[in-house]
Amino acid sequence: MEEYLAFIAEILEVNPEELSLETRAENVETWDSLMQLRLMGEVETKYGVMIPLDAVAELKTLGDFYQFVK
Amino acid sequence: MVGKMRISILSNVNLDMLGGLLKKEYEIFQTDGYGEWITYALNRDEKLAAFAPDCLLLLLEGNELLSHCTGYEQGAAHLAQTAAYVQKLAENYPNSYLLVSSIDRKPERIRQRDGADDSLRLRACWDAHLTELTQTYSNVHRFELASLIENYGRNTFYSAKFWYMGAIPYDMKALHALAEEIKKTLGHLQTVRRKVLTLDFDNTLWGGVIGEDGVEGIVLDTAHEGAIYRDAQRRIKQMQDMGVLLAAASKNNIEDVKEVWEHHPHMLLKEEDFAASCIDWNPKAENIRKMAQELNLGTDSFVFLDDNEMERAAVHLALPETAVAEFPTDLTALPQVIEDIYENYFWTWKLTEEDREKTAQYQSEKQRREEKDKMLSGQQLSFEDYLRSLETKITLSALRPALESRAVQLMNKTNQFNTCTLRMDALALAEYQRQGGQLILASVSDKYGNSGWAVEFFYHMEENTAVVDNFLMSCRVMGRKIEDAVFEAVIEKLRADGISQIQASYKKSAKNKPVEDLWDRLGLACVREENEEKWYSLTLEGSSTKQETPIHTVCWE
Repeated sequence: MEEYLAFIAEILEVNPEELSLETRAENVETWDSLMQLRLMGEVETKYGVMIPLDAVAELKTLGDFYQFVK
Repeated sequence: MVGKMRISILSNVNLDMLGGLLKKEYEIFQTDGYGEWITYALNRDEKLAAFAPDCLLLLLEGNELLSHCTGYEQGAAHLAQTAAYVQKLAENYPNSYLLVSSIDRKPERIRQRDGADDSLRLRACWDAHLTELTQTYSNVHRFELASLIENYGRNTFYSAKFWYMGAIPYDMKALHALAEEIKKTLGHLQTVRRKVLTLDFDNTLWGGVIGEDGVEGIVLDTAHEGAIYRDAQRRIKQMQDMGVLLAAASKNNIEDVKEVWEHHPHMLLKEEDFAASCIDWNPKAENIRKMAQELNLGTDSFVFLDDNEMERAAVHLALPETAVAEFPTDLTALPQVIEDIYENYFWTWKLTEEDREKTAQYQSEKQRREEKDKMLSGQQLSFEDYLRSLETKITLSALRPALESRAVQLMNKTNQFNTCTLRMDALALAEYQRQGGQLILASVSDKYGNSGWAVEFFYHMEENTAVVDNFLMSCRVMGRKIEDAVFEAVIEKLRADGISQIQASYKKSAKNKPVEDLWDRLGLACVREENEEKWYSLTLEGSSTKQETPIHTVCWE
């Protein structure tokens, strides 16, 4: 999980310590709608997973993304 | 360019994500909305203009661009319209480089299969527009988006999901690849092209050791392992056509190598292809130094290719400024490595006539040297007699559009004969002219060959005085009193224009010692000397100083 948060922190350009699985878009300045798509794309690429279209709207917290990593 | 390069990415689709991937390396101007590039093209956007981008990058997504067109005719008409917009873009931001992408088109799958697929023709149609644009505008260059997609693989480059969710055509990983390609291409706007590829022979141009295996035994053929070396040689030969000089630094007996040159049916690189060669047992760094001197170039213009790691390390240690290319551990990658060498060290946006004829020029220089040695040693002939025997013709011309790329190339790579080492890119040169700067070029030819446009004389007017901003000459034509003839002709012209005074200066650089006394020699008086700079002046009164019997024939175009 630490590695996952470090990876996300690099994309969001924040310190990993600022992030947890509860972090949501409202807490991070760089997390806008474009970043939402990028997070999805980066997670899919890095972990070789596929996030289905109907799940994307439900991705609110970093924990929601993490569901697909596990 | 000082500090981070300033760029802006324009597109007909949503590529804002690239901004995030590139912001560590560049200052990025984010355009409003996406797909709005035409708005930015048609009207000069004040915010974008104020940002003063070094480079505008226009990435066109071919499938979207032509999505509303049916058939080739409609598509071609739309591409012509697009080219007109690009033209506007180039004109509205004349102080920025403009990189314009080629376009990719997915093949039409829903069509009658025996009918033509228009996607390739449309791509070629856009390529033709691009070629024309890059020829018309010196600030426009091509960005190879289509080949990137092709090499990466179309099926994985595009992402249907990103497309339908965010109008982003490309997959996340593909966007990273695109960002890398952008970095590589923008890097070429800032690097100086090297000039010489220095080659080892055994196990580099052929397999095996010629001294042991003999002409019959070396591996060089049209098939199997021998074809790797043949294909590598073919690419090196192509590079030579792109103006790269070849030099040989190989530890062999010259007789053995001559055998290969003369008798091996698949040896593509012949003796006359090498502008300089050192085939002996001396250390290679020493030989590179020697060849640099012979070619009148710096060792920082050299790239070295050798299969032997020890040789590479030795050259790198002795000549850190010389680029040492990696040799592949997997031999089948050798032709690809040669292509990488071209891209990394010899990349050029536009090829000049001088580039094309470079090897021939250096070879005629060799003949000139031999003639000089012969004449000066055998008979009681003077150096001037020798120069006269060359039958040199010098043609002068004011800068015109067709000479622009050569003019820029010459002023940026000339180090030794360069009084003030004033460097300008195409945009700065245009600005210099707008502010009243003048540039006179001279081309030089003689009975051994044409050296092309090789001299540049920059000046501007201050009332009745012509202030020389720079005087430079290619090292290829140094030592033949060309500068005397050019200076004399320019003075004649200025005198005819009613100029009464000339001012000139010399600014010392790391490499321009050869011209520290140039102005003194040309008859100017030194009026001030400070730090590493000298100012000169010449009054143009009285009659012409024209010599009775000039050494060279000079004319204006």
